[in-house]
This record gives sequence, C-alpha cells and structure tokens, in this order.
Amino acid sequence: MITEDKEPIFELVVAILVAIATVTGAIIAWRASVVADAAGDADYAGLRAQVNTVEVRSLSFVNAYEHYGAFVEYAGANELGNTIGNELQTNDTLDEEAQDDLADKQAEAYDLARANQSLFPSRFMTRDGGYAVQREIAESWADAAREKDLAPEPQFAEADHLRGVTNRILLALAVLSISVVFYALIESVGDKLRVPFFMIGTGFLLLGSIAAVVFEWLK
Amino acid sequence: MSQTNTSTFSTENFKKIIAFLIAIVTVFIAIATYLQNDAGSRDDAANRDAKNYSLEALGKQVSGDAQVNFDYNQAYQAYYEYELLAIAAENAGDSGAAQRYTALMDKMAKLSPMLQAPYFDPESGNVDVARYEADTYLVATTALAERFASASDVKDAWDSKANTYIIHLTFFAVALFLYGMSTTLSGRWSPWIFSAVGTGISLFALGWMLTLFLKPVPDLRNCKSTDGTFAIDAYAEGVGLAHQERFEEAIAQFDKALQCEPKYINALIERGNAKAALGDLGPATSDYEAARAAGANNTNLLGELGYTYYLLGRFNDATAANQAALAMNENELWIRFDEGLNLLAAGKMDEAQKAYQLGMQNAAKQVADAQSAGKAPDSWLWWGLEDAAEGLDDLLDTIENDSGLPARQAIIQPEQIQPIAEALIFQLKSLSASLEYSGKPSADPISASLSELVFAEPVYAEDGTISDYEVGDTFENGVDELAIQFDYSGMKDGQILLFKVYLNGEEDPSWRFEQNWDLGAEGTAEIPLSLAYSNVSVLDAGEYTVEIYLDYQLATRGWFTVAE
Repeated sequence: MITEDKEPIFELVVAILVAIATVTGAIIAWRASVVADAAGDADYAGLRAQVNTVEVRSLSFVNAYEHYGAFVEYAGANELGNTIGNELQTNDTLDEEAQDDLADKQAEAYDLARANQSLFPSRFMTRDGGYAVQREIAESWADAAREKDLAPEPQFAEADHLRGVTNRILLALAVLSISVVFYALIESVGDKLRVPFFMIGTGFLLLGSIAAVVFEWLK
Repeated sequence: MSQTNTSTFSTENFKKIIAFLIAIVTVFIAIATYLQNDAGSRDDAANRDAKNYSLEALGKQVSGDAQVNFDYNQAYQAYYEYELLAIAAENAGDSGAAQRYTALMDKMAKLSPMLQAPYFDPESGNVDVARYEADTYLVATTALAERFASASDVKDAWDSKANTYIIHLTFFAVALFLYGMSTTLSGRWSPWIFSAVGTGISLFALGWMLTLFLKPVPDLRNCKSTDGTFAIDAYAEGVGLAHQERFEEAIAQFDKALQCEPKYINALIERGNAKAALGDLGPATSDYEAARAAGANNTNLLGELGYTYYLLGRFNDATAANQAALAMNENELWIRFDEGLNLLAAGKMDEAQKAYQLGMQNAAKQVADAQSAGKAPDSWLWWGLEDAAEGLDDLLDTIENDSGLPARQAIIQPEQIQPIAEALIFQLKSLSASLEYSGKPSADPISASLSELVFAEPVYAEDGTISDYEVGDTFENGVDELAIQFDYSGMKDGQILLFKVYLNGEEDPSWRFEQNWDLGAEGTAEIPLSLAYSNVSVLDAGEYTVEIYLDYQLATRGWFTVAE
C-alpha cells in the first residue's frame, strides 16, 4: 500500500517538473528573442550614427576645402599686392608712369583679395600666413557632435555584446532541454536508477534556468 | 492471460521508447535553435559591417576627393599659373614682375601638402598626383570596398546557414509529429512505421546539421600573410601602387595578398593587369585564367583575357574568351571590335569585317535608342569606336614596322590586312563623327577629294610675313606653329568641315573645330596649328595625328612628330 501511494506522487512530481521545464524553456526563448531584438536596435542606432558621421565628415571636408580655395585666391592676391607695395617702396629706378601702373595693379590685387576674404572664415587664418583647414574641420565636427550621435562604435559593440548574450541564453535553453530526456527515461529505467535520473534531470533543469537568469542579469 | 500481459508490456515499452525519442529530438531542436540563432547573429553582424564599410568608404571618397580637388585645382593650379606668368614676365624682360610671381609660387607651395616632398619636385615642377591620391584616400577606400565585399560574402554564407538550420528545425518538428502519431495509432505495424520514419528523418536532419555546422565560413577580412599583413590591406596597397604605375612593387603586394588566399579574385585580376602593363603577357593570362577558375566571370575579365590572348597570337583562345564575354553582354562594343581585330590578325577577313559591321550597327542602334529615350549616349560608346580604330592602327604599325604585338610572324596573311584595316579605320571614325554630330550614320559617300596632309613650319621674314615653309614630318622641340596644307577638289561651299588633332593617340579637344567650307571647289588650303600668340607655350612633344572630316566622314588624315 505504501509503495502504491508513493509511486503516483513521484510520477506527479516528474510530470510537474516536465511542465516547469517546458514553461521555463518558453520563457527563456522569449527573453532570448527580446535580447536579440535589442541587438538589432543597437545595430540600427550604430548605422544611424555612422550615416551622421559620414554626412558630417563629408560636408565639413567639402566646406572647409571650399573655404581653403577662397583663401588661396585671397592669399595670392594679397601677397601680390604686398610685393608690389615693396617694389614701390624700394625700387628708386621706377619712373612716374611705371609707379602709377604698379599702384593700379596693387589696388586691383587688394580689391581681389578683399573680394575673396568674405568667402572664408578669417578666424582660421594662421600667423604664418596659412590656413588651418584641419582646425576648421575639427570645429565643424565638434559643433555637429553636440547635436548628433557621431559615435557608431559603442552602439556596434553593444549590439555584438547583446548577440553574445542571446547565444548564451539559448545555450542555457539547450542545457535545460536535456532535463526532459532524463525525466522521460525515469519511466524506462529500473527502480535503482529512477532517483539518480530524477536528480540529474533536475540538475540540468536548475543549471539551465539559473544560467539563463544569470546571463540576462549580467547583460 | 499471458498474451494480454505481453501485449500490455510491449505497448508500454513502445510508449517509453517514443517518450525518450521525443525528449532526444527536443534536445536536437534546442541545439538547432541555438545554431540557427548563432548563424543569424553572425549574418546580422556581417550585414551591419558591410553597410558600415560602404558608408565609410563613401565618406572617405567624398572627403578625399574634396581634399585632392583643392590641392590640384586650387593650390597647384595657382602655383602653375604663377609659374607661367613668371616665365612670361621673364621672357618679356619684366624681371620685377617675374620675381613677384616667383614669390607667389613659393607662397602657394606652402599651402598644400601635394606641393611638398615626396609629391612635388620643385626642379621640374612635376606633381605626383597619383601618389598623393593613393596616400590620401585611394588605398583606404579600396581596402574598405574590399572589406565591404568580403563582409557581404560572409553575410550571404551565414544567411544561408541560418536558413538551412530552419529546414532542420522543420524536419525535427515533422519527426515529433510522427512520434506523436505513432502513440495514437492502432494496428501491429503502423506505430512502428511512423516511429521509424520519424527516427530516419531525425537522423537525416541531425547528420545534415552536423555537416553544416562543421562547414567553415571563410572571411577574407581575417586573412593574413606570413608577415602579419592583412590580405585586403596588401591588395589595397597594390592597387595604390598600380595607380602610380609602380607595377613591380604592386605585384609584390598582390603576391602578399595571395599568400593566404590563393583564390583572392580581385588580387589575381589586378596582378594580371600589372603584369600586362609590364609586358609580361603570359603570366598575366595565367592570373586572369586563375581568377576565372576561382569563379570570376564578367565581361571585363573575359575581354581583357581575350585581348591578351590576341597580343600573344593565341587567336583561337582569344575568340573563345571574346565570344564568352559577348554572350554575357552583346553591347560591349570594345569586345566586339577586339574580336574583329583578332579575326583580322587570324586571317579570317570576312568574319572580321562582319564583326566590325555588327559592332558599328550596334553603336548606331545604341545612339538611336538613347535619342528616342531622350538621353545622351554613353560616353564609352565614342571611346569604343576610337579604341577600335586605334587597335587597327596598331596592327598596321606592327605589320609595317615588324615591331609590337601580336608578333608579325603570328599574323596570318598580313599583306591582305592593310587595305581592309585602312577602310575599317575610315568607316569607324566616320561613324563616330556622324553619330556624335547628327545622331545617325552618314548615308552618302564623300564626293570631294582631299590630298595627303603636308605639315610645314612657317619661316618668317624680318617684316613678320611668312617667307617660306619648312616641310617635314618631324619637328624640333620648341616649335610653336605649324601649317597643315592640302589640295582639294570637288568641294562645295557650305559643306561641313570638322578638324581633329590627337596627341599620342588621345584627342586634344582644344584643337577641334567645325566650320562651313567657303574656299570654293578646288585649290590648296592651309589650317594653322599655332601657339605663336604665347611667349610661353610650345607644341607638346609627341606623335600627332590630324584628321579632316567632310560632312562628318573622314576625308584625310596625316601624322607628324614633335621631338622630345
């Protein structure tokens, strides 16, 4: 009588554990899907940041080098005006007509320089007479970085990390599913092995479940 | 009683076995799910990488172009202009102005890295734009483009794996269904048959899954040569060096790229191109063939292979390659004309002429189609026609001078080729001009007659009038004016005359003009080729070809050389 009472309880416990394993497996699969979705979102955010990066980089280069081109025109005309001025000051052999001619050329050169000066931001002119094109590009970049996400790498790293988490969670699911095999074998094996199989099955169930929780917890 | 007990025991055992099998298949499903997800994740990562590389390459290309355009079109152009102005001022005796412009040149030189070493030689004034482009962006964008292509391949491979794992999951699901059915069926054999089929399907899916799992996904991005250089980076360096026409160094880089991946198709093709540029045509064809064997199969590769075979005198192989390319795209004019050239050299005159006629009809059709669609014809169409005529010119040179490729002794019936080739050159050039200007081939033959062109350097008297001409076909370096003379008859006023000048095979469009004829029916005409207005410029050294068209049909052409 005692044995007959114990058997249904044992079988009932096994059946409940199989049900728990099934439901836990479904929950783990759902969590894996949620994490995978988050990985996809992080990828998308990274690509959006990359598009921003390319747009800002391209526009800042194109604009900066357009300005640099205007500066070259300015610098050429201005330098021409300066060298004519030097010649007017230092060359005593020039007659009046030549002096007037040079003065006209100098005025033309300075007019041209002035016309080009408005086509580039003068704050990037350097003391040695050059133009800090890289500084202009860096400034454009810094301005854009205040408004847009220009760092795709962290998003890509996050996506890769989340994909790893998804894989680990699914690995936990595979471990958990082994418990069902042992629970199924309990019915087939002899009395001596039923309890060890029950223990092993429950071990896989606990191991898979705890691993899934830990993997998601640590994500 | 005993029979009933045995039957009950057997049914119970069967159900236990099925329960165990279901549990095992459940584990397989869990593993397949894991593998499918893993493959899907790698597919997503590679897909993202591919998009990222293409975006990065685009950005680098745009910013690099902006930089190089500034350096060349602004800084260098200003430098060059000031240099010309300095020379002009010096020549005019204005040393003050010359000094001013020289100072400006120095100023400009400081504004661009392209005007510094190692890109610029102040002695010669030459700038190595190709090297600057390679260093600024070409190598980087090439590497990114290769990584994009490689990531796309990896993406495709993992995508295929992920999809195949879904098939395995479907098989396992079917097996579970069959196991479930087997426990509900009555009869002696049915449960066993269902369970056996379910087990067979499971084992098949398991074997397939394991095979797929063990199949590697090669990723060129991780491929390194023995010195630790990534194959893609070595390839990109090679492309940069080939861009600078440093072909031997480029080949060394391509060798490095091919060390870890001997089937790296782009590296094989580029190495073939570099070898061909050095004149090593045999090894070049080996690389092209290896690329083809590795899976490359496009019209460009086949066209290049066909042309290289032609140069080597392997006319049958050339025909096979050209025909394979034309089977892919019959509108590839350059390949059709290359095949015509190949057939001509092979002594198949009728077939050759047929190939050229087909090409010319195709060109006319493409122009007509473009016009009816309201579009401009593709620019490569004109290039195809010009290139075809140039190929025939080269063949005639080879036959006449016994130099060049294919070797004269490999050419079949060379004496018969000359009149055919000359006629084809006139047809091709006439078609090119008439399509370009009128959109259709010229229907009427030329009624007028123009003599051979005579080239002469004018000799000036002290009063500035021309006192004589020095006729020749080679002129000293520094000549700045030539007269092109020819006799004509049968001309009609109002006829359209088109004048073209080519330097070293490439047309110099600044010399091209079109005008209505107004010099009467017959006589002698003279067209000046002059830079004499300048005290700086002279005619560039090289081989000049001059062509005169009447109503867009080539009427006469001639050649002269300005010595180095």
